[in-house]
Formats: sequence, C-alpha cells, structure tokens
Amino acid sequence: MEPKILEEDRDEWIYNSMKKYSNLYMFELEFPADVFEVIDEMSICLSGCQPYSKKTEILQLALPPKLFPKDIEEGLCKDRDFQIVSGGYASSNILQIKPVKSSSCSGSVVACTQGGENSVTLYQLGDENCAVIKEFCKLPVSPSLDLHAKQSLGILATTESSLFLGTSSSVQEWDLNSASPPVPLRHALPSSISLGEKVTKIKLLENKTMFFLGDNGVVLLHDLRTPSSSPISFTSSKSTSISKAEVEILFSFDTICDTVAILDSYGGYEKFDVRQPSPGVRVGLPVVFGGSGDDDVGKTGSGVLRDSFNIQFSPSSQQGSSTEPVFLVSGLDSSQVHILQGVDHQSSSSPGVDVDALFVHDGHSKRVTAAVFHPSVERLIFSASVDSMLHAWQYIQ
Amino acid sequence: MPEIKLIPLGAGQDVGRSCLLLSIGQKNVMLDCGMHMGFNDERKFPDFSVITNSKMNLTEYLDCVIISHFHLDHCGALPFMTEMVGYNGPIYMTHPTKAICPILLDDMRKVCVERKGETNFFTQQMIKDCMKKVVAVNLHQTLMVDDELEIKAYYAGHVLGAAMFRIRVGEESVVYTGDYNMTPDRHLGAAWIDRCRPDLLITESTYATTIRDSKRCRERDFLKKVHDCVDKGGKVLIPVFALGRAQELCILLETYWERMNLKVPIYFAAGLTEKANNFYKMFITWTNQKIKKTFVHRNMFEFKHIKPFDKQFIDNPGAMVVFATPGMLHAGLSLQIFKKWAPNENNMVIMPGYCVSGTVGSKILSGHKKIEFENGQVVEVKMSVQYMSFSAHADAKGIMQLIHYCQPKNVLLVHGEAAKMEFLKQKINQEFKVECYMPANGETCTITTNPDIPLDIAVPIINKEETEYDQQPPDPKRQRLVHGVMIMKDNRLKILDVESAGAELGLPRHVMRFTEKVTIREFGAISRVTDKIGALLRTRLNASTPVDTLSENEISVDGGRVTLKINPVPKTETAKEICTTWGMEDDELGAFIFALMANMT
Repeated sequence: MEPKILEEDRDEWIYNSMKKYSNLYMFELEFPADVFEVIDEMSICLSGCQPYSKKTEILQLALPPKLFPKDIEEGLCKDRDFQIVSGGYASSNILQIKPVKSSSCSGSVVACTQGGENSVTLYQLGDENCAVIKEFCKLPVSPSLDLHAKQSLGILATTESSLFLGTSSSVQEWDLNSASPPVPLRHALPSSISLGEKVTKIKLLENKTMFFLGDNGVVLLHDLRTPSSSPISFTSSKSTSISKAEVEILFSFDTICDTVAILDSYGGYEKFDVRQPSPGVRVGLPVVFGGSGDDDVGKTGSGVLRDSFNIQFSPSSQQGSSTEPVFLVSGLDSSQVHILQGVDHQSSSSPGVDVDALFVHDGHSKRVTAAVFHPSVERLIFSASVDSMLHAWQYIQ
Repeated sequence: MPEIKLIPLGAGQDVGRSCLLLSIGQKNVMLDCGMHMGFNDERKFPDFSVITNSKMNLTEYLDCVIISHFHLDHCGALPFMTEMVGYNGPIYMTHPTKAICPILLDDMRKVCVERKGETNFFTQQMIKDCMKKVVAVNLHQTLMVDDELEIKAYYAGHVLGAAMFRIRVGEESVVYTGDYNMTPDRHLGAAWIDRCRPDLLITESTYATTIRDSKRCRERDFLKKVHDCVDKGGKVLIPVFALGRAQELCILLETYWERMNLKVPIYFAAGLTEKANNFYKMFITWTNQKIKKTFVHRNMFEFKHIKPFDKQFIDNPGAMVVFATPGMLHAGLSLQIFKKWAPNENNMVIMPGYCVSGTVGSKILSGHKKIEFENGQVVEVKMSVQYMSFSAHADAKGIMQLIHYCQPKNVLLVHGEAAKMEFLKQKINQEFKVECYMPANGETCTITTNPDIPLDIAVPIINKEETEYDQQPPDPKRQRLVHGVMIMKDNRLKILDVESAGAELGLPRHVMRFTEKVTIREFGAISRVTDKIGALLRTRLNASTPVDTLSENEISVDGGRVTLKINPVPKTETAKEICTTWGMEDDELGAFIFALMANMT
C-alpha cells in the first residue's frame, strides 16, 4: 500500500515548485495515456483505454493558449485548459501515432499502428464542422512484419507526404499524394549492418535520410535514395555485452546537429560525432535506473520500461553557454523525469563530472510512461503517467 | 409512448443563461430562471412566449419552478418572471440559495438601474415579493409538490447551497444538475448523487470538451503572481463578490502566508466579511468535511493574516493585498481603490471571474489602457491586469463520472458547442450505451421513456401458479403463463381471477360449453356402455387425469372439464347416444375425447 499523500504535502510541493518552474500545469485525463504525440505546435494527439467501455479512444487536444509566451506578458489570455478538438474510437489499442502532413487529405491526418492489426491505419482528425475522428484508410503491410511490439516499427511522416514503416531489414514507403490507395515501395536496408531482430526507433532527417536503431544497440544512418552507398553506423559499447548479459539491455537514441547519442539501460550515455568515424564516448548518467515498485509491467530486469525507454534532445538550440545538447530521459520505472546535459570538458570547471543533472521533475505520484519536449517553446515538456495525469511544465534554468 | 419533453428557453444560440421547460407525466416544471448578463435589452430575460402564446398564463401552466443556485445566470430573471410576467405558484430552492439570492438580485438591480440607467427592470419590492413565494428544501429530502410530482435535492458543490434536483412523476424521473463540481475544493465538497437511474439526466456541458488544469496549478499561478508582486513592493487588488470564490481565495492566501511566514498585510472589505461569515456559519453543513471538523475549534473564516480594510489604507505605502467588492469594478470600494492604484505599474489587479460588458472590469480585461468616467476623470491603467478563473465546474471527466454514478437512460446536454455535438453523442453512446440529446434554444426535445407499470396480483392467482409450477422460484429465462383479468380501479391496475373479477364488476359469469353427439350400437344396459367408455378413457388418457363415473350414465373427466352422458335413443333397441360436453378452455381435451367416441361407431 502506498502511503497516503496528505494535502499538506501536496501544498508543500506546490509552494516549493514556484521557484523551480516558470509554468506548471496538471491535467487529469479520463484514462492513462498509452500513447501521446505532439502533432504540431498547437496540438497533441493521445489515446488510451476508456474505463467504462474499455474501448480505445483517440483524442486531439489543443494546447492551453497560456502555454505560449506572448509579447505582452499580461495574463489577459484566459485559458489554462486543454480543449478537445476532436475525438473518436479505434478498433483496437493504438501503439504509435505519427502526424501526417499531406496535401491530399483535408484537415489533419495521423497514422497509427494498432494491436493485432497488420496494417497502418490513417485517421482523419476533425475540422471546424466535425469533431469526430474517423478512420480514413488502412494501408496493408506484408504479414512478415511483426507489428505487435510497440516500437518494432517506426512510422514517420515526412514533409514530402510520404509515410515510412521501418523494420530491421527494410523500409516500406507510401506516397500519400497519389490519388488511389498508395502502393508501398520497398527499400532494403544494407545487409552488411545488422540491426538485430527489430528496429526500436527511427529518426527521419530531410531528404529521406534516416537513422535506425536496432535492438542490438546499433544505429544505422542510411539515405534511401542512394542505397548502394556504404552505410554509416554507430555501435554502443554495450552492444557486445548483450549475449553475455543476465539482464536484458535496452537501447534508445536521438540525434541533434552532428551528435548521435545512444542511451543504454545500464545507465550509459554514449556520444558519437556523425562526421567522424571514431568510437563513441560513454559516460554514466547521474540517475538511478533501478525499479521502484514490485509489479513487472513491461520492465526489463534492470527496472527500465521496455515500451517507454527513451532519450530525446531538446529541439530548441538554447543550451546555456555550453555547446552540449540538453536531453531528457524517460521510461525509467519511476515517477520522475530527468533533464540532463553533457558537460563540455574544455570549458568545464568541474572536470570529474561528465553529465549534469539540470532538472528533475518529481510532480508525478506514479510511474511516468512518456515525456516529450515541445517542438518550439523553450524548456517546455509534457509528461504522462499511469495515474491518468498529464503534466505540462517549463523549468527555470 | 410516454414522453418527456424539454425546451431550453431563450433567444439565439447563447451561453450564459439557464432556463429550461420540462414536461414530465402531465406536469410542467421550469428549471432555473437565469438572466443573460451580456445583453441590456429584452434578450437578457428568457423568452416565455412559448407558454404565454398558448393562451395560458405561467401560473396555470407551471406546476413549480426550481432554482439550482444563486448565480445570476440561473436565478437572475426570477423576479422578472414572477412579478412582471406573473407567476404565483411554488418556487423551490435550497436554504442557502433562498438566503443569498435576494442579496445578489438587489446588487444586480442597483448596477443595472442606477449605474446603467435601465428601465423596465424589477424593483426591490418585487424581489421581496418574489422571495415570499419560495419554499426552501433540504438536501435529500423528498418533497411532494402535489400528489404526483415529487422533487429531491442533491449536493452539487460549485457554490454554497448549489443543488442538483431529481424530479419524479409516477414511474418517470429526471435529474437536473444545474452547475456542479466533481472535485472538492477548500471550502466545499464534491457533488454526489445516488444510483437513481433517471429516465433523463440534464447537464450543463459548457466544459464537456475541456480538460481543466488542476485546481492546485491554478492556485499556484495565483499565489506566484501575488507573491511576485508584493515582493517588489506592489499592491494587489482582487475585486470579489462577497459570496463565492472570495472565501476560497482567502483560505488559500491565509495558508500560504502562514507557511511562507509572510508579513505583507492582507485586507478584506469590512462589511462584507461579517455577512459572508454569518452565512457560512449558518450553513456550515453545506461546506466540506475539513471545515466542519475544524469549525469546532476555530472558525475557518476568521483569519489570522487577513484584517478588515479601512479606506485610509489605500494610500499606505508598501505592499499589500486587498479583497474588495464589487467584483466587476463597476462601483464602490473596489473601483475607488482601482482608480488610485491603476497608474502604478508595480501594482496588480486580479479579476477572478466573469465581468459584464460595459463595466470597468470587462474593459480592462479586453486590454483598455485608459478608462474614462462620467465625471470626466481619466485613469491610466499601467498596473498589471490578470484574469484567473477559479470557477468550480465539471469538465469532460466530471460529466462522465456523473453519468456513471446515476446511470440515466438518456442524457441531455445544454449549452454545448454545436460543433462538438456529434463527438459527444458518440462518446456517451459508446461509453454508456445511452442516447444523448443536445437541443438548441427554443427547440423541443422529446425523449420516449419505457416506464415500468406496477400491477397488483390477487392471491388466488399466485397460489394457482405456485401449484402449477411445483413451488419453484421464478426463472428469468423461462416465461410462465398466468391467466387472469386485468381491472383498473382507483388508478391502480389489478390482476384477478375470473370469479373475483366478475364479482368486482358485478357481472355474472357466462360459460360457453360445446356438446357433440355420436350414436353407437351397443347391446346391453346403459351402465355397461358407461363402464366401457370409462375404461377406454382411462387407457387412452394420461394416468394423472381422473376419470370418474358419476352415475350409471355419466362420466366426468378431470374434475368436470369434459363430461359424457350416455342416453338410450328412443324407439331403438341398441342405439345409444353419447353426448360429449366440454368448456371453451378445454377444447383440446374435449375434441380428443370426442374423436375417441366417434371411433367407437
């Protein structure tokens, strides 16, 4: 039994938060968000299981206007609430949501993979006249692909209105601008680099250049337009320990500018420079990766959540005086979200420290399942936890 | 089919005024009678022509009026309706609502008539006359308006005295929520209702598509702004209504000041504190658990850090926080303070609620930097203007929770956004498998109900059923047939057995019996034929069916259901006539036996 959180303790936390956060919002959703994704600057899309009917509901929410800084910081803007722009029901639980920027579909469209279905489903989000999210079309995927694990496929939307679905050996591409149901184009990935059994994360840059992370700790950089060029890859130093490990090792990665960083579930943060082929530099993070509770929901032996383990670089370029990128770590079996920043050794005054813990958000009372940066507003992060709470917070540097 | 009808009254697609006409059974009930604060002409009051056009006056048409709480968008038009349009029937509201309504109505009257110069408005005397027609109700008390119409109030949270009402006529019931709140706050509890399964739940849906920021974070924002301002030596003005969020904000600031050990003075306009305190003391049972508990030791509304305000303090140097009325800065102390403090950019005004257009409050909220007054005075607004909404309303999650608690058969949403209608209908349908309606103002919404009809059953029929089915308890999966006659008497339905029904109605019972004859040739005495037929019947009929030889020429089967008489045919030696007689209900048995006789020839 968890100790009962007293009202006084909650008040106390709020009082202390005033110095730490410039903005803090807490929303109680009708259900814990299984998936949530920032669709664009002004809205997010999330889905989860309704407690009454047990059906999967998908919602598009408009962000509270007060989150966006205005020139005149007068507080005349009234709204601190999320508005449900549209909502609807999906036939089964949703595993991923990715926005699609396509000119052929009116209004916004999102692409989803769902449990038990061998296809990518496109949903039409509502517009001014209709607030119901409806299934728009289903793109069948060849059955050999395993769609059941949540992040075994990365689905992406690109600015050229293409949809990509990646596995460890290939990428399927659909051109969404074609009039008829699009036929997928299959790109094979270079066979010289192994991505293990499945791809766990994909990041798309412009011009069909993509990073793939395999479950073996290898990141592959590949340009789909030039399949024959020699592939570039980065391998985590923990990759070789996988077969010997008693406890399953998970990896995540992100890229920003010329940096590629791989996070492993043993607490390591390994940085690579895209321009140089030299091996990466791995440092330990000042964060405890152990578990907090007894239940084994989706956890690996090291206490990290299989489906949520993630590292994300802050999209905005501001990092203070350092050139090191700021990143967040989520998917640990804890109710905290950590913001960290690597230490620039050349200018650092504390030579022993490799990664600084910039901020810890401990406002959640239960395990955090996902955390993500807002694409443009500085230091604004959204985090969701299993107790149906969704927080939007902006920390003070 | 029985129906419940609902018409939202009002002109146009506006939000901000509640007045609903409900028809249930043969009764007509008006739910709330609110005023629209945005209009200055006749559009501010509900349009009663729906009733008056049908040549009935309000008193004839309405069985009662129910007011949910004292906010003006729910009770503001009541004196207009009762005294200027004309209504003399009962008006129901809770005790706190009855105590507080007249004060707010009079305040509003002063603003509209004295400040804005409106004519055709109700007078102070009219407010008094109106309140004389009010009957106060207690929570969870079932009140019979007449011998058929019943109402019951439930706690709604939201403001002091706010209630949700259940209206019942016969087997049909409706729950009207007014404004409610599903999460408790610092001085009020959360709404509660039992699983009453009404045919219809009517709920406000202004926030049905909103996911509200938590109360704590709103408070945090408020405290942060106040603290930052007083830290810099600025003054904070908070215009409030005497009864409403003011108490909540006071408790909030008091707790914060205590914890952070702040010394900056907080003031509350003197006269109103006492009045408000008295109301809360009187209606302590309407507040939340914590306040009730601490009230034994000390009055939650007597504050350590909050002192009564004196006008002389307006010019005091240094930081301070002041709560002053009225809430929209349209007159009185709050306006006086505002005029003095507005030109200083270190100061701050925090508007905690809605401001009617035309008031200074609404002007500064729309960004006006200069306010001009009738006496020519111009005030420059350099102080920081903040708006913080603390109203306690149920949002998307709260509405779903309420539907889950009371389990209505239908849901009706008022004040919803038309664009979101389809989404809400689908959602409520998917989650609770009930229909959802969203009528526009002036549109009649009809809901068919399936009320249960209670019947009384006479004991002999139950006894007969018991024997017939071997005293087994009823099985919901297998129907059982019970024969009887249904009589309607004294507005009740009864099922009686045939004899009692006949007796009740004074009707003699007529019985129809059929007789078929067949002639056979048999030697010997009649009694021999009788025995032969008796034996035949015993072999051919079910062993449990008794066959009795009543006399030498009469046989009775199954206690008289079928009887046989054997008579000699006159003037013949051997011909015998067998008459088989049976009643209409025993046609099958009778026909079977007759066929047996016919085969004997």
